[in-house]
Amino acid sequence: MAANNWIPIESLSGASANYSFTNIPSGYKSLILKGSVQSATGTFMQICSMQCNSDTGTNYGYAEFGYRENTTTLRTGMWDGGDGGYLCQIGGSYLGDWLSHVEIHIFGYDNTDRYTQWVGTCSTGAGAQGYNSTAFYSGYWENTSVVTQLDTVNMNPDADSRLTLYGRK
Amino acid sequence: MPFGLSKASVLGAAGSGGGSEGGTFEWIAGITVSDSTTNSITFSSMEATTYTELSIRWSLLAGTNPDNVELRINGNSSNDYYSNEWWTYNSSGSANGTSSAYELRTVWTAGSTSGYASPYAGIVNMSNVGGSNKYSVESLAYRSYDTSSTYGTFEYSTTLLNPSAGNYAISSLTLKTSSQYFTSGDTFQLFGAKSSSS
Repeated sequence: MAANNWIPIESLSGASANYSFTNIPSGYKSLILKGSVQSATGTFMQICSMQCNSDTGTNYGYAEFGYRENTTTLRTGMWDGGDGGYLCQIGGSYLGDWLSHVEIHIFGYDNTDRYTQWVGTCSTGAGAQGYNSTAFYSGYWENTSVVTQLDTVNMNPDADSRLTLYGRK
Repeated sequence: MPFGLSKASVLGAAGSGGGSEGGTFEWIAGITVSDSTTNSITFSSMEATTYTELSIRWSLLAGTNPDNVELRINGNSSNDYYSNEWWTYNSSGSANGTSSAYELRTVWTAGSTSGYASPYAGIVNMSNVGGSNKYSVESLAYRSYDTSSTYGTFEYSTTLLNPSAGNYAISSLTLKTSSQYFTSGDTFQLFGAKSSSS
């Protein structure tokens, strides 16, 4: 009996422009994308998005709530009509060896009655008013098709990064 | 496949609805307080070679006096914690960041005179704790408002140990009070998830 369990579908790690989870099977109650990631992009903090089934059109919405980049400004952004739904904010290469924790729960991915939606947290410790993330991120794909592929956007994960896609029974 | 990208596992890729039924989100260890003199609990084995993801789920009752629930990594009590936190309590909220703390504050606990106030509950999340990099530890903690304590709170905090220092693989994790004691029956449960079923 594997009720409410997490079944690893695919684990991607190492340096890459982005991570692409392909051939995602249907039948799970939800999906979970979880791991530690740092961007190799030359930034302090990097906002990453996610696309479904290789759809690069402006068919996504997102919302964010929490702190990123510093702890002096509360972020409460939202948008509809983007070319990817927000996934997370992680540290960039300027931070050095400094990986962020990411956990995103994805709902309705194989339910043709509704859009696919995701929500979760991204956490990056930092000092004083330094660069950090302690934020809730969410996004959705304005399409009811069954999702079989998830691609990160603008992530550029470095060699130490890893994300695992789980299916929840 | 891009250079440097490795696929650790591919399961159930034929659209079979999940492939293996073998689950990987598992209970590892639990600690339940049984006295009135405990002010610290430690998970000393993170089983990092088995689990890439770790999660602690805890629940506790606040004592008479207000206190903090704090987190320490590897027993480190030096000012090595690079932390950020934001919180709400009742109708107020604030945020803070520090690079010189001796621990991570996960939540402030309002006291309770009746002993029947709403419990606190929290989740601590970590990834790749056996790695040699500096991994952020995430903490989410909550308490519903109740008329016994007259407080409700939510706190989201994150920390990692001083990135300029050496290897900080996470070998143990401690949850402690600041000045009071845990309550008998307070419980802390460690769960792990593997990144592959093998």
